[in-house]
Amino acid sequence: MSSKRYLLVLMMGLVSTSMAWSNVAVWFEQANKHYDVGEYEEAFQLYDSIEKMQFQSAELFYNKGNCAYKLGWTAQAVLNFEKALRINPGFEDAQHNLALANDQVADKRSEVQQKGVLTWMSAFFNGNYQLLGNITLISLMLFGVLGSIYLLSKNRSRVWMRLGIVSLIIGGMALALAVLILRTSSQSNGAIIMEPVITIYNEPSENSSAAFILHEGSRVDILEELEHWFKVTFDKKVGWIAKTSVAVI
Amino acid sequence: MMRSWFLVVIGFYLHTVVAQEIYVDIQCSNAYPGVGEQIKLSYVLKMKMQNGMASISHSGIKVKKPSFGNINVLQEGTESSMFSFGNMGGDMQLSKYSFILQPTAKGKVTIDALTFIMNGKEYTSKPMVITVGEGDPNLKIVPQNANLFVRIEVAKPEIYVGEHTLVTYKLYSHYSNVSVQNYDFPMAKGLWTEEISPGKQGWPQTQENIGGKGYLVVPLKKEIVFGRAVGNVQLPAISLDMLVGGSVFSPGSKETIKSNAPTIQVKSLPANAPNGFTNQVGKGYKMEVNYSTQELKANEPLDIKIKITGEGNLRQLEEVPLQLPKDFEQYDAEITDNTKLSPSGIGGSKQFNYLVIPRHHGTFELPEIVFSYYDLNAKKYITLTSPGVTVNVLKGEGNTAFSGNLNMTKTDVELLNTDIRHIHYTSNLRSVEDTFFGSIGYWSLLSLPFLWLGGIFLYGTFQREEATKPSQKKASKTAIKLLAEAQKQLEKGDDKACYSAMDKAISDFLSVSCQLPVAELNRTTIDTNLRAKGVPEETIQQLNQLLEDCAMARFAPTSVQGASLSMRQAIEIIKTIEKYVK
Repeated sequence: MSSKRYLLVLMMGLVSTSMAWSNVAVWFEQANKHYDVGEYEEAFQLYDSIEKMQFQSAELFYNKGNCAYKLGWTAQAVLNFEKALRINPGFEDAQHNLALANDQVADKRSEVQQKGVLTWMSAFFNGNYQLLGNITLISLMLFGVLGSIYLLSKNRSRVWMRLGIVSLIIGGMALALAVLILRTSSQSNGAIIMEPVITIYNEPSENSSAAFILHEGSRVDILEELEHWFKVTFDKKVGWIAKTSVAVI
Repeated sequence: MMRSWFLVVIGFYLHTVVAQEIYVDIQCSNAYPGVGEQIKLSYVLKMKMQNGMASISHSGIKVKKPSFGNINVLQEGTESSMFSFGNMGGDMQLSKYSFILQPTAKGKVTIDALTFIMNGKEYTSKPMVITVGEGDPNLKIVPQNANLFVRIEVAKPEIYVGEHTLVTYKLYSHYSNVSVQNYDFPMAKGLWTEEISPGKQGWPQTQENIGGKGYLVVPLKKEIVFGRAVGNVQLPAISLDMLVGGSVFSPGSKETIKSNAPTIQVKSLPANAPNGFTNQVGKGYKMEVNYSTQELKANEPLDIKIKITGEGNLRQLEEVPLQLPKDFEQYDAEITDNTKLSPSGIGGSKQFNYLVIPRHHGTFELPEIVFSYYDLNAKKYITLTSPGVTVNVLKGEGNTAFSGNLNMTKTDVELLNTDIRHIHYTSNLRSVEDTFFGSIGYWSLLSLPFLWLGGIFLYGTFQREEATKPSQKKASKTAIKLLAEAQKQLEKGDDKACYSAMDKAISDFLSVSCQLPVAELNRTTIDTNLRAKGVPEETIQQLNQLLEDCAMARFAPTSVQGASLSMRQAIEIIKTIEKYVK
């Protein structure tokens, strides 16, 4: 079968990613140093280039949000803290800083948080669903090994079977959690207003009447999408906003 | 008001002039001057003479002056008006008012008419046109209305925030007899102002010579101003209502003069102000710190005296920040201000007396006291530090309700400052393109153990089935083994046992070969089965013979030779059949 070829492709992919990874790791360190001496703008740019390299992590967005906060870019700060929380809903420091950034946002919004067990589970694994996926893989491999020992041994000792079942259960749980985290972190339904003042219309057209007005840094939830318009909701109010004036979390 | 009577009597006879004619004549030294050139313009009030004589009586002549626009008036006044009899058929001159003018810009200037007022009647001149030409560029142009002006002088037009400069309001007068009737000193915005008291004597008057003209300089007011915020601050012009040239005979003329409005540029101090900087700017600061004791009991007061001496904006110094341990209660400082204001600035000392009370016993390190200021001489920030001290606080005496309560209350940990939390230094950066999780490869790797185990399971059951099915090879091997046993019986001489063993070996072998249970084995079944498998007829015959021999040997006596022959035959037959039966 072509599984060998697939494995080869996978290995090559890993090698190239790891090379890029060592690059962005260095940038990350440099950015942290800039931040420490108060060069927030330089740090922000470096974090941004890591993001442009298609690398991300909860801490990356968190640090970037910190830079924006220090520079007084409220909307950027809110956006990045929200992104960090999208990846890791249980990121306590990001929640704290987001609350402070939100204090500077003009529009008041009654708080809605509907995160439960997933929050602290995610916090424990740092929102790293890939790690959980690998845990699944390893425990299932272990299950395979233990199972074969059980089946091939002459006396068929029950110990092997029990160990095998335990690893199967661990693998199954890790997989379920990984899928859950992946689903919440990849599907974002929020967006941040990036312009000082923006009108939300009653219909997806600039000629329609204005429904309400929001200020920079406010978070809206996206309900649906139509060409270059988002149907959004803010504090139970619903309207249409131009895609260009918001940044999706 | 002083009233002077002026009587003019001309001629030897008292003569009533019926038709007097009075007019104003203009005399100009040069109607086409250059810029900066001085000219004399005189207005003369004249009366036509009749019959060589004229007489008039009046009670003073007043003058209404025109405005001169951008032409400087260097000097003006009534020229000594002696009775002048015009010899060339001239008329009688009643009054002459002259100006020394200095044009400041090129172009045509029209000077409005001047009016003399005499006995309630107005006598107005014609307007005068002066055409100003190029002029000598080296000529010095002195300020307008140069006989009397007021100026605001700023000692240092560029100051730092917190630095001070001296502002002097000066009246310059060419006349000796002037008096201020009314004044307006608007406040400057964006500056912190301290007026300097002139003392009992007032500011001394001085003489100054400007452009060859002597002036009496009267300082009206001196103040020290401090820059409060970065930017340009314009001091508003002041205006004075003056009474000029009052004499025994005339009350003088009223004049309103306005000063210049100088600008002070307030610069920002260099960045990177050190710790303990409280916007103090000056020279030669010193700090003295004095702790009343270094060992005391809890709830007893400790005095910390901080004395700052120097020359600068000490008056604005509100506190020297203390960094006390949390268990020390600090009260507002008692401030003693010993600063003095003088034209050279503010100097002196300011003492802060802090009362602090330790509420818990223990040994406490009071950190060093840091005070920074910007030194104008050194042009840099200078930090004064007083070393920290160790204060030993003993247990308070007695367990009074007051101290007891204070010691028992647990205080909440106070969040001093709400700020964002610090960045994280480690991160597991992941490529967004790394989509191994959830890919087909991932799922197939995941299913691998199941496939593997399934395979092993199926293989296991297959293996067991095989184990229960007796194999041909095994059968012949067992048969040969049994025959070897029979051989041993033969060597012992027990030929009966040998035959019975041989019989068992062969029938077991055939049962496997013909796939029939031993009980079902008989001549016919053996024959048909073996024939179907293609065993040669000859071998079948030999087998039948052998089986018969075996059956016979059980009941009849046999020879040892015969038994060993039968044995060899049996091995041969088994080997032959084995070739065909697989």
